[in-house]
Order: sequence, then structure tokens, then C-alpha cells
Amino acid sequence: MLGLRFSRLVHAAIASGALVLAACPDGGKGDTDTDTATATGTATDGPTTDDPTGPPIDPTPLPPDPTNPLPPPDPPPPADVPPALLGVKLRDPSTLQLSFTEPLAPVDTVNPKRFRLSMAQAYMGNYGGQPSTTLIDLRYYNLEQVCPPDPPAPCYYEPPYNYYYCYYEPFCYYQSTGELVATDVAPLDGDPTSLLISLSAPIQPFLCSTLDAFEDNPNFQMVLHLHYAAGGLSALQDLTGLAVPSLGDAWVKYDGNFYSYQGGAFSTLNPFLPIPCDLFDVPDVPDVPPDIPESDL
Amino acid sequence: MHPALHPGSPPPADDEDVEFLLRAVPELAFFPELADCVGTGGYDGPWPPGREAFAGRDLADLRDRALRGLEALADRAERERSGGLAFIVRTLTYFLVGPAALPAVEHPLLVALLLRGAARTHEGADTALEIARAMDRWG
Repeated sequence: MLGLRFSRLVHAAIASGALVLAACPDGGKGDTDTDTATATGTATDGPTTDDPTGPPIDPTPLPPDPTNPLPPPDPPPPADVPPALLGVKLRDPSTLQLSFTEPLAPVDTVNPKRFRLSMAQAYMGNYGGQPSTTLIDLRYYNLEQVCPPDPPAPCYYEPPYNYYYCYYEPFCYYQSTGELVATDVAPLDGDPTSLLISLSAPIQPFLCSTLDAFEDNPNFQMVLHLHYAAGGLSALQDLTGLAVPSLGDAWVKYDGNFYSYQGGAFSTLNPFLPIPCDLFDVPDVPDVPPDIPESDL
Repeated sequence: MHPALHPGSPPPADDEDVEFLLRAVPELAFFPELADCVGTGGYDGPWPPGREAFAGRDLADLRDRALRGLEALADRAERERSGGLAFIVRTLTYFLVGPAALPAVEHPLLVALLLRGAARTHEGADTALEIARAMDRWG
């Protein structure tokens, strides 16, 4: 755009000193002719950084002694103990990786609808009142940034000369990715104790930044958590047929988007395995409240 | 008239003032000192024309006339003690001639003058507002 291109050139010329804001023929405030007089005598002052006499640091520490015996492997779990979920992590924004205590039976027939994610928010009860936990559907926090490819027609020269009126910067906004559900369950090649869950939409940085919203408030905690409903045919099980137990399965069976219960924080999430949201350089939470419809409150 | 072009206007004090002043070019193109720079035609397409309508033309004569007009405007700025007008004249001159000179179709004042010439065959287009809108769509 003509106006913006010229504006950048002008500001660059001002910054370089080629253009001055006010003509100062008598050497006024803008006169910088004497500036070069100060650029003397500092080039040979020597470095002022680290003390070279400090203790030396060995840049190549010795590797472990290969003659030492390896630590013994973990003993296999007893045959009558069901497999347990050890952890859940984001392998990429669209894939969860679940780790279990032992190898699982083939998961080809496991229905992905047995899994559901929640934004689990706990109140610790320190203000008075009872501790409680609220589960919220991810659609309200998984907001993606949308920047329309064709921003509104710019107006640089057209009055009223208002920068904000003209909208000539690309205009972006946040919108929900919509329902976020598990769409597929698959084994992880080379690791029979793990499996992968595909998601219908990638986890967004906005969601991860929301998790940090209460990090300075000990009265609240918010986590991303996976829920699982066992039972019936085609559930997760180990090689001996023992099933993986449910984990907060009421949320899986519930078709609403908000679910609250009294009691200890995250009490139905046992084991409590928050999913680390560490895929992104998380930006500050934009000042955009989640778009929660009145009918859901 | 754009407030920064009035007699007695102060020079810009910061980037915001500069931005405000740069938007005065369409109105500046209507100052009498630049009347000789407005062509008499050479464009009969739809309004507003884009840069491609003038690409490849020899516009050296327009540049010379604009320079003389800016010199006259510099005299006006001094006479009227208009720091805003002086700055915009100085800036447009800096990018009109010399090592920082821009191609004619990139120089806002030359573009405004070209548009004024083209506007003569379009009723109601030869106004500062319509020239400003056309400059915004110049590309």
C-alpha cells in the first residue's frame, strides 16, 4: 500500500538522521553535529566480562564407566494386577500418547469414544465453602487464531486520518476449533506399553496458556486431563485379559459440557495425571473470554 | 484543510505527528503552487486508476514541475511559519530528487497529482477526499 510504504521510508529516514522533524538553522535541539566527538577512546579498554582466572570448567565430562552393571529392570507386575495408566502426554498437537504399566492387547477394536478430555478446574476451598471440581469441555478453551487473508480495504489517506479507523494492520481474532474428541486409537510402534489417540482438532496454544491462568493462585488449579470409561467389550486390556480401570468415566458418559461435583479437588481423577501442555512457547492469554453460551451455564 | 497545513502549525514532535502529517498529501495536491503539475488527461479508463495505468510512462516533466511547486510551498511555509507544511514539503522533496528519489508511481505527491489529472474526466472525482480514496486503492 502506497501510504504505508512511504510511511516506513519516512520513519527510516528520520531514524537515520537524513530527515529532521524541525528545521533548526541555528543549531537548536536537533543539531547533532557534535555527536561524533564522544566516540573516542573506548575501543582499547579491554573486555569486562568473565574473570579468566576463575575455576576451569571441563567441557567434556567423562562418560559413565561401561564396566558398571546396568540397574536391574523393573520387575513385571503380578499377573492378577490390572494394567494402570502411568501418564499421558501430547506427542503433537493432534495426538496423545498414553503409557501403561505393562503391554496392552491389540487396540484395533477399542472405541475412541471411551476417551474424553476435560479442562478440570478445582477449587481448594480456602475461601470458605467446600472444595469442588468443575469439568469443562475443551471447545470453550481450544481457540485458534484466525487471520483473514483479505483484511478490510486499507485507508491511509482517507480522512479522518485515524490509525484505528483504517484497520490497515492485519486483523486477527480467536475462535473455537469446535468439538474436540478422540477419533482413533492406535498402538505405538516399538512400544507395546503405549498407545496413541488421535484428536479431531489440534490443541491450540490458547488452551495451554489458559492452564497457567491460576498458577499464582493457590486456591484454584486447572489441568488438562484425560478420562476413560471401561466396561463391556473391546475395552483396553493387557495380554492376560485384565481391563484397564475407568478414570473419571462419568465425564465420558455425560453429554453436557460442564460437570461439577463437591469433594476433594480432582477426587474422581485417580490416578491424577495432568497432561503437560509443553508443545508451545505459550503466549500470554489474550483478553478474549471464552465464548460460553448462556444455555450452557 | 488538513490541520497540520494551517499557518502557524508546529512541526511534528514525534512519530504520531509524522504519521498525521503524511496523510495530508492529498490536500497538499490542491495547493495553488502545484496547479501547474496537474495534467490534462492521458487517462480515460474507469475511476480510480491504479498504478499500472501509469507504468512505463516518462514522468520526468511531472517530477520537475512538482519540484518547482514544492520550492514555492517551502516559501509559503516559511512565510506562514507553518512547521507542519515545512516538514511535509521537506520530506516530499527528499524523496523526489537525489539519491533517495522514488519512482514516480511510488511518490505520494506525484501519485496524487497523476490522480488529479485523471480525475478531470470523471465528474466529482477531483476532490481531496476522492483523491485520498484513490491513493488508498493505488496498490
